[in-house]
Amino acid sequence: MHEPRRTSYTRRTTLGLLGVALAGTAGCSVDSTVDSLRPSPLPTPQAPTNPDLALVSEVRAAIATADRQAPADFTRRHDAQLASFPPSRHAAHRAGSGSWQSRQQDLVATLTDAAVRAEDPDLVRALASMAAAQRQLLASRGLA
Amino acid sequence: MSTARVAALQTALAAEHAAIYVYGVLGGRTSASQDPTLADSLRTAYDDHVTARDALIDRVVAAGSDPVGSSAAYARPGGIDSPSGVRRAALQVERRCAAAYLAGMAAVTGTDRRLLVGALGDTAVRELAFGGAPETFPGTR
Repeated sequence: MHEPRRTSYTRRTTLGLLGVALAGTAGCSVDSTVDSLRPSPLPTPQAPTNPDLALVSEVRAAIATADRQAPADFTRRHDAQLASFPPSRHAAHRAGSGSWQSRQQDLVATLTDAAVRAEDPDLVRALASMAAAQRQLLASRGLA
Repeated sequence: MSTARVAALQTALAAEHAAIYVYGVLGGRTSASQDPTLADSLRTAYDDHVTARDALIDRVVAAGSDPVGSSAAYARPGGIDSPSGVRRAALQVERRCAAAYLAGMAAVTGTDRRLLVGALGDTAVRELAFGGAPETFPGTR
């Protein structure tokens, strides 16, 4: 019963001494030899990227651009609704080009595309409804 | 095929069937000579809903399902003895369609979702012809 255990200890000791001897022969420290045997640290898992993050920022910028001079109340509410979704970058104003009407029509297209691309169900519904609201706005002014 | 996708399309299709029926009734209650604007709006809306119905049928078939048919009977809207009552009923139809489109919006993707977004916008615009006012979030009423 005791004999095999002693044999095992002797083997471990021999292997350990052999390892030290090899390390010394190779000119390496014991520490570096042991370090090389440790598993390399796993990369820290990144938080999953929110697929809608860029989308929300893009739409907020489009809203700000389309109506920056005289934003309608409902436009402010649209932006506030979008701001309630996962943190988005501050909506930057872009240099709007074309007439107010063309910018509004561009916004309908932006909202529609965003609604098609969005993944969060609440965001999908919000964007689709906003696109419809923009179309209503244009139609109510005879600009559709 | 996704059950949710098909259910969303079928719900929208059922709403369109009902809309077509109601517009048929409303058109029969409206005199083109006495109220040509209303009659024209009803006719346009009827045609638009037929187009939307056909587009939805195509998408349901593309999803590998049998399109839901129109019901044998629908509740006739009340209070349609006057032009204002007809307008109210038409507005109600459009709001119901908007709600049906919006409800299924997130269950579909790609071409199907683009169709529903467009149809939601169409129905929101038609609301204006029947006394509706621009809303912040059409379809949520």
